[in-house]
Amino acid sequence: MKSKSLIILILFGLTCTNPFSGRDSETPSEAEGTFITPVEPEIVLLNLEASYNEKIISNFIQCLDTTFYFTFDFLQFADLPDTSWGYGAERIITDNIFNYYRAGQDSISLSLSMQAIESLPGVKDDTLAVLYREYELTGISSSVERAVPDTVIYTGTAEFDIIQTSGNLWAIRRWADNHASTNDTGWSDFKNGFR
Amino acid sequence: MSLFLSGAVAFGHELIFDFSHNRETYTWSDSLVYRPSYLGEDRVLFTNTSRSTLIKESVLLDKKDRWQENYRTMFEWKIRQEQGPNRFGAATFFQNEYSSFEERLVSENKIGLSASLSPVEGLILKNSGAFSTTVRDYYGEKHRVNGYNNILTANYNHRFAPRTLVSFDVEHDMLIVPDVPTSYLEGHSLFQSLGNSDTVRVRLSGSLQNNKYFTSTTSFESISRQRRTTANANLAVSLEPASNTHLWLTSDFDFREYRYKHYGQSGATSGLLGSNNDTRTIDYRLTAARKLYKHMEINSHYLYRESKEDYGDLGAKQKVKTGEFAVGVDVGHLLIDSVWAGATFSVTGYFSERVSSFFSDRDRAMELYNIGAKHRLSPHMTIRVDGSYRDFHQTYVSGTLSANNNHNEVYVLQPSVEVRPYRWLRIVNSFLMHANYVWYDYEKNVSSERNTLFRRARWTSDYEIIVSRRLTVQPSYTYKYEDFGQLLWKDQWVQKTNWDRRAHLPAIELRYRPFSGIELNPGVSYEWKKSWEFVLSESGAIERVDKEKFERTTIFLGVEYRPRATTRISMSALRRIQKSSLYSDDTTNQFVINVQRSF
Repeated sequence: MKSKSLIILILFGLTCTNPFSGRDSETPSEAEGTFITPVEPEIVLLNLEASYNEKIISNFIQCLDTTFYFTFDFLQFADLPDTSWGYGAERIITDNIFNYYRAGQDSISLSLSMQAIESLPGVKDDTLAVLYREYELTGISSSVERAVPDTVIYTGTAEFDIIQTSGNLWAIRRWADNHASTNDTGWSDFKNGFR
Repeated sequence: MSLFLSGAVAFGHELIFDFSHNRETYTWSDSLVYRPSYLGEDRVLFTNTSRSTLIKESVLLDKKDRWQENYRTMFEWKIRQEQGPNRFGAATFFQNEYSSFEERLVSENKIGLSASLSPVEGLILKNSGAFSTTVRDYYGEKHRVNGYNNILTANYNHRFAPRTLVSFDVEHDMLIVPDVPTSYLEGHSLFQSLGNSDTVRVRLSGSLQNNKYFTSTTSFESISRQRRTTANANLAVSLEPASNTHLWLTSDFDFREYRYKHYGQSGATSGLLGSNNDTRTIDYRLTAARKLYKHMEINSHYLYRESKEDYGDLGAKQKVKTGEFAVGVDVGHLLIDSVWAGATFSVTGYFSERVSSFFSDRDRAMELYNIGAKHRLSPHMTIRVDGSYRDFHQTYVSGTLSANNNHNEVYVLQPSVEVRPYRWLRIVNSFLMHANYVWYDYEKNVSSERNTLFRRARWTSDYEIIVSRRLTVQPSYTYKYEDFGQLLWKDQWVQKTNWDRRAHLPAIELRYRPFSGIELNPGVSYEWKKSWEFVLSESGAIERVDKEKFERTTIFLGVEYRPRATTRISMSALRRIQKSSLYSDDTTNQFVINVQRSF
């Protein structure tokens, strides 16, 4: 009796769908995105730039360590709602950004370029690298009702602390955004618009 | 200052000073807490914290020096305290906060009175009122607001039994000023009952915040209002339904809602405008553990989490669902032998609320297996082996993104041997073998540069030599090997190597205590690394050619001086010189000093 019950139980288990498998996906209709295995800290920033231009959230998330936090140049006690946030908030904000620009890609677009700063070379240790990049982020929207105006260029300098993770690959732990000048809008202003 | 020091009875004063220099960045910070008592019932509290950062010739500011300074000073005189027989307390206080960043600064002063009352055992009511003045100066344009700040708090806790308690806390903080008033109300409650085998804990909390703030950090033209509502409920139960069996159930509900309204002109700073959003998350976790026989324990848990994010007109509504199941077994817990193994399976699904051709519905499935063993061969030798396999499978449902579906697999093997041949010598040899396969679902059978293999091996030999009671020497040597290349599927994965590199890292470190209270920690390390890449030669053959030669020497010295238990002075200095055939040479100096005194 016991063995019969066991056989029935095993057969039942075999006919069940694996609850921990992913859903089926459609056959690819578009070209693939760019993601290079981040065996060097510089590659992380190439992947970050590509994920923004291609708006692929999983590639962006792979650029971040789970201890990630984002900060920007600010005044303390200036009564802004927040002046920094962590991994979870960054994931949600970027998901919002990518979803917004993907959903309306007939009328809006977003492009990013990052350049190394010649006068400020990066520093690399065994498990930590500090890299600096000048960036220009351009958001174009034809909708006047949006919080983001028609064309806005966000410029500034970003400082990245990139660490070697437990998987021996590199990922961003700290991203500090600095405005190019006091009159320019920076990446942090852009991100705040999607909070 | 001398007024406070003379004739006062001291209670736990503290002074901390820090200075650090790292490349072009200089940082000074200090903290002082001083709390004397003059009349017996009274208590003075003086605190000051400040932090100044200078970036010399910052490239972020056209080679100008960049300063950021933050100061906070508070003086409070508790004339009476509500503890003991008094039940009524009163205090007066003054507070100053100052923050400057380049050509922007904010300064805020508060002066006020506070009173506290404890009418019954366990209940404390407190109210403080202060007049406040805030000055904002953005590039010479000044904005001053005067107002009133009131903070009301109530705390109650009661024990029904020695191990059963209930508590309630409420706080209301209100700043009444023109243009940018703020209001914050929050409450917490807790019920906890601790039994010998069964425990129950329930926490409820919520908050309501209504703030207005200047939308821009550079002008006072536009104002925004943020309303934030939060609610949280947490339940934790532990049971022992049978002998040697434990069950834990935890559940958490979290709700956050942000609502924004914008006034005045927008313009170039409109990127700062917030968007209405709310998030609600609920999760529960059931964990079970059972001891079998004498030295075996099996454990398992199931976790389910569901969250819903609504970003209104941003079109970023989505649900996220996670399920995770894990099972593990430990055998041993003995000094001589132990063996352990475990497996974890999980899947996280992202579901869009609306369907379009660009939706990014996706799943992330994970499988993790780990196994390990430890064996003590003799009192002088222990060996240990850890191994694991992990696979992340990312799946996009939409055809616009499904080309990026991929597997990320990691294999790790870590054996180590620890030998203690003499009481004064300890040797640890550890090894790491690591392989990371990344391959894309729809590119398995084609030559794709996105399919890659990264392999890494490391051998580290650490020595600890106790020369005397005052001196310990710690030499070490590490050898590293890494290679990276494209993966090709030919009935099995084969690697087409793009590059490889090898590194040798000898190092030595001393810990020397010449006198009681002083420890010196000097050290030096050297790294030599060479990289090669595989290129196609003119003859069509693949050749391995030099890519980079790298050398790094690091010298450091740490000094710690503890003349008594209440005083600590530490200093560390580091100089690092790097030479690379591919990148520019680099020399880095770092210096940190820390002084801490309690009195």
